[in-house]
Amino acid sequence: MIKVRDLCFDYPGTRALDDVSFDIKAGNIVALVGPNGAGKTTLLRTLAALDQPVSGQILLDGKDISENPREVHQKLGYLSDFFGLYEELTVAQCLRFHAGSHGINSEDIAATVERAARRLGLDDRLHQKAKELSRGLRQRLAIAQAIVHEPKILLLDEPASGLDPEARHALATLFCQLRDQGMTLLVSSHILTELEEYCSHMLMLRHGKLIAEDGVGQAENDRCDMQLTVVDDDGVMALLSACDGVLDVRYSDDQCICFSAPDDALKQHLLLKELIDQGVAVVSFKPRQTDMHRQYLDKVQQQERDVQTKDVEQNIGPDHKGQEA
Amino acid sequence: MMIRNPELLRNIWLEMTPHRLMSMPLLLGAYFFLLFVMGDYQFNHADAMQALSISALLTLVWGAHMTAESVLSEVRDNTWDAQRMSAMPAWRLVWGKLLGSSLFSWYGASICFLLFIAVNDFDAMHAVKMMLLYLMAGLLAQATSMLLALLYIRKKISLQRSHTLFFTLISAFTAWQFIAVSGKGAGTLNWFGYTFFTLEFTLISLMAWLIWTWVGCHQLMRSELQTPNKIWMWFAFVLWCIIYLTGFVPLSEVVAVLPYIALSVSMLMTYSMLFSESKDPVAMGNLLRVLMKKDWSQLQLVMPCWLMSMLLMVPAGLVLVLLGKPSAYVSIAPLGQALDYVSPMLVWTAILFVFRDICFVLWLNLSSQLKRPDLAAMLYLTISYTLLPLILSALNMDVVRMVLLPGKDAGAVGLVIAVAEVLLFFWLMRSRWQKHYARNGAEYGK
Repeated sequence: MIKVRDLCFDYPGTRALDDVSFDIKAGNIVALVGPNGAGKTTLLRTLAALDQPVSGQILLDGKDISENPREVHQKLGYLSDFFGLYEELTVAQCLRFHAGSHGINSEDIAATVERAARRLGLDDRLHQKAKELSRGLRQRLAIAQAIVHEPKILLLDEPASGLDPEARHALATLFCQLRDQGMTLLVSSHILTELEEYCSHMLMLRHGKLIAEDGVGQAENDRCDMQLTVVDDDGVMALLSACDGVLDVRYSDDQCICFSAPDDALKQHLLLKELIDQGVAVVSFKPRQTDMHRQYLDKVQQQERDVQTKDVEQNIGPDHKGQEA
Repeated sequence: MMIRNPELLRNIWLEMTPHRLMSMPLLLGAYFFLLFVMGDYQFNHADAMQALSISALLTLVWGAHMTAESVLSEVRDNTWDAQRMSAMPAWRLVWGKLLGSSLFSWYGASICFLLFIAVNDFDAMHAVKMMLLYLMAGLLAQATSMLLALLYIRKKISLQRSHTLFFTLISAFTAWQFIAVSGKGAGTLNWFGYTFFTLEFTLISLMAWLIWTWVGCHQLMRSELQTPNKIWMWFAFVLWCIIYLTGFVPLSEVVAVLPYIALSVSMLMTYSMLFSESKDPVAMGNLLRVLMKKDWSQLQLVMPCWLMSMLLMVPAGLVLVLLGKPSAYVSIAPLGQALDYVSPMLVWTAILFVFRDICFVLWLNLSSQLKRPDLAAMLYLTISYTLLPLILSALNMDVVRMVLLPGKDAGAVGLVIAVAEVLLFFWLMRSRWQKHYARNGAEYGK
């Protein structure tokens, strides 16, 4: 449904998106995560054909957005993080305007408005002015405006910011309903636990680069992420690294020892036995919970390690050459 | 009646509230009744003209304010993106905004027009022409105001309410000039050898400028909606300006004066668009990349209007050098002073000064320190073209003056100085560009 290839976007003096490529299949809800300034909003605006990239290709439902952005707009709904409403208009007028401006026939507008209002639970507030709505209701109205023309793709930038837990849960339910009706959603948010409620996949952006494109909570092939707690970790890292089938040994942010092991109960049992036989005082040995938050942090740490390794290799390289010379 | 333009409908909801629909006739009715009472219970010619003046106040000032706001408030209130993503074609959005946002001012103006029709003592045809003049001036002010707003938002500078006031004043002043010209009396004027009554010619001119302003709004709205424009429209507009101005020259002088006008218009357009259009490094990077790739079909989509106008200057200058003759009408060329002979050296020096200024403006725009590079450039250029030459003249330092102003008697020395200045500013601009390129590692120019 969404295909992005080698996308680059510049602001004066800054590369905001650097060679970003990914695919999103139809009927998925994909989380777009990353720290502030990672390029999430820029990516969403570029996908919405609101800003033009420096290079790269974006295909939405098979259409190249650079060739016909107006046609693509008909398939898209977009909710900006700083959305605005026509404060002096009523909810019905706001929805009617958006339905009309998306080319809905005048005979169908009333029914379209009613459907969008019902979906967002605004059907009892149709005659209330936008300026009189609470924060949560304003958010709902903005989403109703974005989906009033039944787009195939919905792009949402921080849709839950400022909402109370109840409203967030209602929003999650709505997103699942929209997905079940065939819509593809790309949702950017900082609140990872909330994204976990409805997202099936995750795109991670950092410094304008896509650092990972994963399924949420998905195990990698036939491997499993494990967590080890010991009384004294002296020498344990080296010991683990030498064990058969163990990869990627590291400290997690909560100072546990983490590693990747085969997703096989017998092999894990043998590994634990070996550790105990070697005299390691094991407190706990268990599969690591791979929630979205942890997945995100792991990827960030992994990327930082990769960068550090690269830097070290680059610094060592010339010295070695010098010694050899 | 079913209104099929959602933007117009939205504006009607906002502008034509029952309270407003009642207040306008009440206010105007009260004022006109006061005039009626003060005029011994009858209206006179002055009252009819006052009705027209009030209509002008409503449409030229209030209407222009509202049309500028119809764009600027959308950007300020974060609703602009939703409009840009709508299915409305550019023209529907333009006329929906133009008519919709100014509808209340036209409601008041129509009451004034009714009074004018009822009490004026002109003959019927003249009265209709007068009304048309005020009506079209109002439309021109509103369209100009929207044009300026659309131009301004492309620069992506933070918007303030003072911008609306600024655009309103410029637009109202521009449109008022047409009313002022026709109000100078029932004279005649010649255009390409044809004699017109001033009022009729003003009406025709107004109509033509109004159409071009609408075209401009449409083109800018297309750009906002990510629909590419073709360059021929800008060339057609510049050509129209040249033809329109040439029409005021006696037929016998047209051949001699046309190149002056062509050069002057293309220079004026270069400067006006240079300061109006966005010149950020990303836009320039796009242009450079397309130029390097020699992608001519893409070039017409990314080519800024100032560059197109600049390119027109060169052939205009060449024709001027080949055909230019001493002429009494040379003084209309805004080259700084009334000239009775334009030497080829001066023409090329003037063109080189434009190149220098372009490099200077781009150099300032590539700076990451300046917040308002265009404003700074305007200030520096104004000082260097006005105050500094005056100071140097007062100090009898005419040779140094050639560095700042293309002088009539500068000759080859002036030309050499101009070339040196162009090279200097081009080098400065290029260095800053390379610094920028090296800093962010972008693929500009590749």
